[in-house]
Amino acid sequence: MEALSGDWRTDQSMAGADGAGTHQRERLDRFLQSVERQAFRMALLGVSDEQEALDIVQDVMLAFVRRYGRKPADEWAPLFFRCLENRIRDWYRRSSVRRRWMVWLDRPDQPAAAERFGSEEPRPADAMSHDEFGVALEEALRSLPHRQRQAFLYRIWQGLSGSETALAMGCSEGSVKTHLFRALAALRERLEAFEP
Amino acid sequence: MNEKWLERARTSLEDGSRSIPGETASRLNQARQRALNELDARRVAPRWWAGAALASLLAVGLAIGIWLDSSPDPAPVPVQPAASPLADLDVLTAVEDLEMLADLEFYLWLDENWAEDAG
Repeated sequence: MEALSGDWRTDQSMAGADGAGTHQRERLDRFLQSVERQAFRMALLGVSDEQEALDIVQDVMLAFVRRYGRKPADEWAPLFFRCLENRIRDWYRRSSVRRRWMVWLDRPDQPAAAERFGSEEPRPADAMSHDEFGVALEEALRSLPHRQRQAFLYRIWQGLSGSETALAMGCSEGSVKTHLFRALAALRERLEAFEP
Repeated sequence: MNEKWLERARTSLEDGSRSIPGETASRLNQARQRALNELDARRVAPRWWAGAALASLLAVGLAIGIWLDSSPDPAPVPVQPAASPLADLDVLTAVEDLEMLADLEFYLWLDENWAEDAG
């Protein structure tokens, strides 16, 4: 797991020594530090709104500490991303309901995240990208269906195994393979110009 | 799409996550601290609840004790004075009483006939 290279699980032997003491807090702190920016980037790719992405990551950290903070450190990564996955899906559901209400009230809301993908407005993520490939990759990732994008981010970026990705996404390993295969095919097509 | 391309994608995404604005990084840090404080709060909570539970138990025990102590006593049962063996001594030694017992049959006959005469 290359992306999650913090030292939060290098001291497994002390996991049960002082239970949920200061040591546990320090390890959780290191783990959250190692994933918070990546989680923010993933949320931003999904919702295309920095404030919403920050709120999502904040909720995810709270939910993760409450539910899984006492789990073995080896399980933290997939469980953390499971929380992220749930929270992003929850955001999609709420946005969908809000959009339907706005249509019903004849007050067009801000365009849905999916509708903003093709616009030319500058987005925070664009400002963060520092090279052409990065910009193209993010655009391509935004254009993917949610589950294909998440399969790519968990497996390729985060380096989660097939079973860990399945746990994070709440689906079977077979589904993960299918989503990843389709994601790679779509990215290959869109990023053909960057192929070596 | 080979491993080299995938490595380039990983590097690009990782660079992007490192280069987020300082204000965003600060807010993420604050969010993390809030989450960790939640862990501390949950660790303290069991002790607090244990103390509260013990105090509640003691209060209930005390209330039951006071209630039992202040409830009215049941009506006192009149205590019969213990019969003294000497009290029966008079009966045993009375000669006339023994004579009355000997004539008991006579007194029963008298009572029956007097009642019929009276009726």
